[in-house]
Amino acid sequence: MKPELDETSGQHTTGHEWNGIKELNTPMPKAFSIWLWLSIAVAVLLWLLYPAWPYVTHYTGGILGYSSRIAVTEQVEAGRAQRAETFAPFETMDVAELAEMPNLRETYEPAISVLFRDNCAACHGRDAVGQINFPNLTDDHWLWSGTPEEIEYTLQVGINSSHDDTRYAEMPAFGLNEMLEQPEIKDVIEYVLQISGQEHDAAKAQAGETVFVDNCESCHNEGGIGELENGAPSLIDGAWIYGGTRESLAETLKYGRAGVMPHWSDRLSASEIRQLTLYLLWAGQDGNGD
Amino acid sequence: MDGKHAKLERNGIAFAMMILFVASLGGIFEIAPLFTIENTVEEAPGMRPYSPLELAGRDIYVREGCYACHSQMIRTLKSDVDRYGHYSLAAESMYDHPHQWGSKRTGPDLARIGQKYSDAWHVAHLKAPREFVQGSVMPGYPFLSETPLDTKPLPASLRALQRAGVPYTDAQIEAAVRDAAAQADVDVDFEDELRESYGENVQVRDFDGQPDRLTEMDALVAYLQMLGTLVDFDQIKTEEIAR
Amino acid sequence: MIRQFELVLSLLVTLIVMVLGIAILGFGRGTGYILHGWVIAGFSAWGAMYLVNHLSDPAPVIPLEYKDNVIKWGVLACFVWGVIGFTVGDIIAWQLAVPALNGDMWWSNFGRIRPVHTTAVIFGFGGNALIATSFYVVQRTSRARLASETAPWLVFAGYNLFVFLAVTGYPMGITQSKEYAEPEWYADLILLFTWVTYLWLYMATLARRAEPHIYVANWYYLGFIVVIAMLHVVNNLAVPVSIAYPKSYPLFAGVQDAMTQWWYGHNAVGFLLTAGFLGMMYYFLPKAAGRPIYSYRMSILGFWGITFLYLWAGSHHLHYTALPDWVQYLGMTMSIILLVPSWGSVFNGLLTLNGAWDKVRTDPAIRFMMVAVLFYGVATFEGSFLAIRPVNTLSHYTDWTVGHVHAGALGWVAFITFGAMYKMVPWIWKREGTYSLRLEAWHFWLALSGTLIYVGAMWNSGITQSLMWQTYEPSGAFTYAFIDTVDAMRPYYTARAIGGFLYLLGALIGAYNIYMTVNGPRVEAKDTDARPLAQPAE
Ligand code: HEC
Ligand code: HEC
Ligand code: HEC
Ligand code: HEM
Ligand code: HEM
Ligand SMILES: [Ca+2]
Ligand SMILES: [Ca+2]
Ligand SMILES: [Cu+2]
Repeated sequence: MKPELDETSGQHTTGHEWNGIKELNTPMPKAFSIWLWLSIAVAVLLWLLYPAWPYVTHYTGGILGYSSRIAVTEQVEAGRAQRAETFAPFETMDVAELAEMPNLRETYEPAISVLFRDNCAACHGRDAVGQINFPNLTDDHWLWSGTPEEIEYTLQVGINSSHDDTRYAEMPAFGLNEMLEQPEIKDVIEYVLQISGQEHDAAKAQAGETVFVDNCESCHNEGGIGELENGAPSLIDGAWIYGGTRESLAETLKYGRAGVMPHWSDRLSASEIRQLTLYLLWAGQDGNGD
Repeated sequence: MDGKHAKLERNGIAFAMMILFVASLGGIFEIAPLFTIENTVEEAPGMRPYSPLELAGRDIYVREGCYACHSQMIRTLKSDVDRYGHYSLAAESMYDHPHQWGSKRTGPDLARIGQKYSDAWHVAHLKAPREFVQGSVMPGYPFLSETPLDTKPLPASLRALQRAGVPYTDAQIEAAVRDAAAQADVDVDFEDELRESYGENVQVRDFDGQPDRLTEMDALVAYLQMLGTLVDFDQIKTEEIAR
Repeated sequence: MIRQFELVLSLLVTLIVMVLGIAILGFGRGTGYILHGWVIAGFSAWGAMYLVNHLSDPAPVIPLEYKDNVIKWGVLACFVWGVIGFTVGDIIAWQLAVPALNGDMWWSNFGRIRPVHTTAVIFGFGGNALIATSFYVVQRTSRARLASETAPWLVFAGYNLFVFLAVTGYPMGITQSKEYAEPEWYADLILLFTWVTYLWLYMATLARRAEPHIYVANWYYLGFIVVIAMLHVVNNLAVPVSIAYPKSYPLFAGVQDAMTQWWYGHNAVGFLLTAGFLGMMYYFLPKAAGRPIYSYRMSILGFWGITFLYLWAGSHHLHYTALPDWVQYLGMTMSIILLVPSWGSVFNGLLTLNGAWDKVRTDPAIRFMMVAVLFYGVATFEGSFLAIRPVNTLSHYTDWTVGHVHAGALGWVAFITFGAMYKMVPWIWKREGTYSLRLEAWHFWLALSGTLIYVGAMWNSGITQSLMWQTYEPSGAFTYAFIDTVDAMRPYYTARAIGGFLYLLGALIGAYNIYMTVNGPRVEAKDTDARPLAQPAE
């Protein structure tokens, strides 16, 4: 078949036809060729500047000597240096001094709250009031004294964590290890309910008191007021980690407890740990959740 | 050029061969050299193959398609490194058949999730993420705690990986079932053998809060808890691994 | 003779697949896997029986006309998988907006059913559309009947068996979690057999063509078949654990696996979702518009440009990762050049409508195809833009990628398919036209608004999220926590799910329209095609 003229476009066809379909022999528009060669030129330029072409054991490194690993390391360092300045108080002062500073909160709290949400909120909740199995951090009832230094230390080493110097706090499994008989456990539960001001069986609680004195006071202190030296919580302040119901108490006594708080010394900088410490102290000042 | 192309258009086989040739160049230049250029996979002190329990956990991660929402790749970007930690090395996934770098972050990156949270947290979170983390859109996987881990395929799994190039020894393959139980502390006796075989950085304990059972939750949490914990970054200098 | 040989060969392949199925159901452990064994064995046994029964038949007289019955099944499969795929797509879209819809059951969560969506739409809907139209186009443009009576059925059946195994496998936990290549080794193997048959069939049909030259549409279909074969084999190299388990471990690890995976992934886009559908465009657009292709030279540049460049571009999925920088730059630069041949096809498509623009207003099918080409232009422009490393720092890992994907998938892939189907269905069933042009228009407007809502929502959410990830306070601390970005996504996820619903609604109307068209009266006289000239096999 012969190429024919297409009236609409003024172009000739290529002279082929497939089930009625024809093709025009329109030449490549100029602009298009320019664009193509321009793109290729850009590519060649980039190949010269940056690492690009491989050969068997190495590759062309590029004139700029660029490496994304070096670039990012520099940026991260720069960011660190910048934060060292903008967060200067946290770099240079210890937490006790920081706690005395009046104007820090206004300036720093929004940024620290991001750090809290990225690292701590998963367990302690976005507003740090905790949830079942994870303690409230705003209620001023502390396992480990609540002084700024102690909080800071808790953050550094964690509790029952994989850190070598971790704080260690374990509630023994009285039931599982048969350290107490079933009736004794039942009694002491009623006693704990009593001292924490909940509905209880008075007769059993009376019996439970002896059990408590013999077995529990060594850690939870007289009357169950808690012991800040060993992380044994107060049982009378109503600030439960595990809920404080009869069922949860039974569980605690049978299986024991050893809540894990991770350590952050590997993941966060010393300054960031101080920031979070202050953040908690500030949150405590608001006194949410009694 | 038109004439040459017209010739090609008249020969189907030649056309197909031409396509195959032209299309194979990209792979030849971009994939093959990754096997021959030495600095593609760095020296990374601490890297080791997965222990059998971790491998079982990884298989579950793959099975559940967690990659649909989670990346395991900290890019060389400041915001990635600031949020998630040291940028990922190629060596960190050198035993990953397949890689799980992901292509979407509906949830956060998991490359360094190991040891960030406690086992109890992972168990509670995986069972009911949306009750546990306010605002989460992650599905719950409560069935993992109920499903006993099937350890029977482990020796065959290790063997298959050995064939694919992971340096498992025959002794490790034979001991796979025992090692899996030992790592979840169900079989307390063989802890030392396990550590001797895989190294000191193997975490041995009951992961799922059910000390007398070996469940899929044990395996998945064991896997999550080791992610990003192997390589000792103090020994790594960026200038030496720049590329 | 040839016919006998073909039957025996087909029988042999079917029996091999049957043995595979029997081995699986015999040695397999795990319900899903054994079920798959039964499906494979049963399906291939039925095929084998059929072949055996026809082995001794006298050679039938093959009419000198096109072999279209298998195409009709292809159309059906395309719409069935399409509706399934869109529905599951909208379900997972709602799961992100209302996460309680995950159900928290072992089979229903987002991670397990997301690949059901991607496989059902890409391989089920897209793949069947391509196989069906490629059979149609290769016959018309070669003026030859398909080169075999059995092979087309093997291709159709094997392919849909593969999609079925894939899609039912994921909810039961059978997956390699290699994006777009999730099916396990036995399904991969079945696809391999199928694909080799397809390639042979296509080549053999081309070889019988009565036209001296191979038409552009066939270049693209051939590119699609050849390159997918290569990608599929390399990316799915794996070591199965044992016949007892569906599981296998891919041969490559880490960085090499990642590069292979995205070399595959990008070119599944390039040769399935792009080249194949360009083949579709190159036939149905000029045919429907009644206009010649704008430029033959542009066709050549477009085709070879795409065939060469696409295979280098995969590393743009791995910017700033542990993949060495040199591969990233190579992929980025090739992606930039790639825009030129891509837009070559866009111009070639649009300018082919010169002289037929009035039809865009009156014929919804042509409107579908025109808008498809526009979206193809948008998606490729966006793609090349996203491939630039600094831009990719904004888009990667966010919904921007998902927006880009669906600009291509909804706007290009599905639009061109709908347009082609509205033309092809009346032609092969010999109907006057589609059942209702009004419904066709409804479908068009629902699909268009659904796409715009979807893509708009994802652009917004993607950019919002990545900006939130990267925003620093003047102090150098982060402004937002990760979870803040999850909160910020929720409204967009809802909007996307609504857009997806409109799209699904349109597709349902389309499926109804096609159904009614097929059910409509036959018109004998209306034969738009010339008859084949090539003599069919004896
Ligand atoms: C994996 C969950 C988890 C994460 C994440 C976590 N914690 Fe804790 N945290 C706990 C648990 C559990 C306890 C209680 C330990 C116990 O029961 O002895 C605790 C205790 C604490 C305590 C001690 C409370 C007291 O009364 O002395 C402080 C302070 C604390 N967390 C702060 C933080 C901060 C700040 C972060 C973030 C950097 C954080 N936590 C992250 C689980 C977690
Ligand atoms: C070896 C020290 C030790 C002894 C003895 C001990 N406890 Fe504890 N107990 C702890 C520690 C430490 C915790 C906190 C565990 C944690 O935070 O995970 C705790 C936690 C508890 C809790 C949970 C508090 C909450 O907030 O939910 C209860 C209830 C309790 N103990 C009761 C008792 C009773 C009753 C006894 C005696 C039968 C007892 N404990 C003996 C150390 C001890
Ligand atoms: C629908 C998307 C989705 C799927 C599927 C999904 N996740 Fe998540 N994941 C999230 C989101 C969103 C978050 C952030 C909120 C939260 O902590 O729940 C998250 C958080 C997490 C975290 C905590 C990360 C951190 O640094 O706080 C872990 C660990 C995790 N997911 C593991 C998994 C595993 C394992 C699977 C598969 C079995 C999985 N996820 C499947 C969306 C998902
Ligand atoms: C009703 C129409 C559709 C809806 C509602 C829909 C919805 C979705 C959703 C919610 C996702 C998951 C995104 C994420 O992980 O965040 C997704 C992914 C995907 N969909 Fe669709 N989809 C639709 C149609 C299509 C079509 C027609 C195609 C292809 C032809 C397609 C191809 C894809 C692909 C390739 C992905 C993976 C994207 C990625 O990994 O980046 N979808 N879709
Ligand atoms: C010139 C052409 C194109 C280029 C250069 C290109 C480039 C890109 C880039 C850079 C990404 C993002 C990768 C990432 O950051 O994760 C991407 C993703 C994607 N594109 Fe394109 N694109 C092109 C055309 C298309 C077309 C026409 C489609 C058709 C549907 C398409 C489908 C996809 C899909 C499905 C993904 C998601 C992959 C994933 O992460 O799962 N692309 N593309
Ligand atoms: Ca993806
Ligand atoms: Ca596969
Ligand atoms: Cu791509």
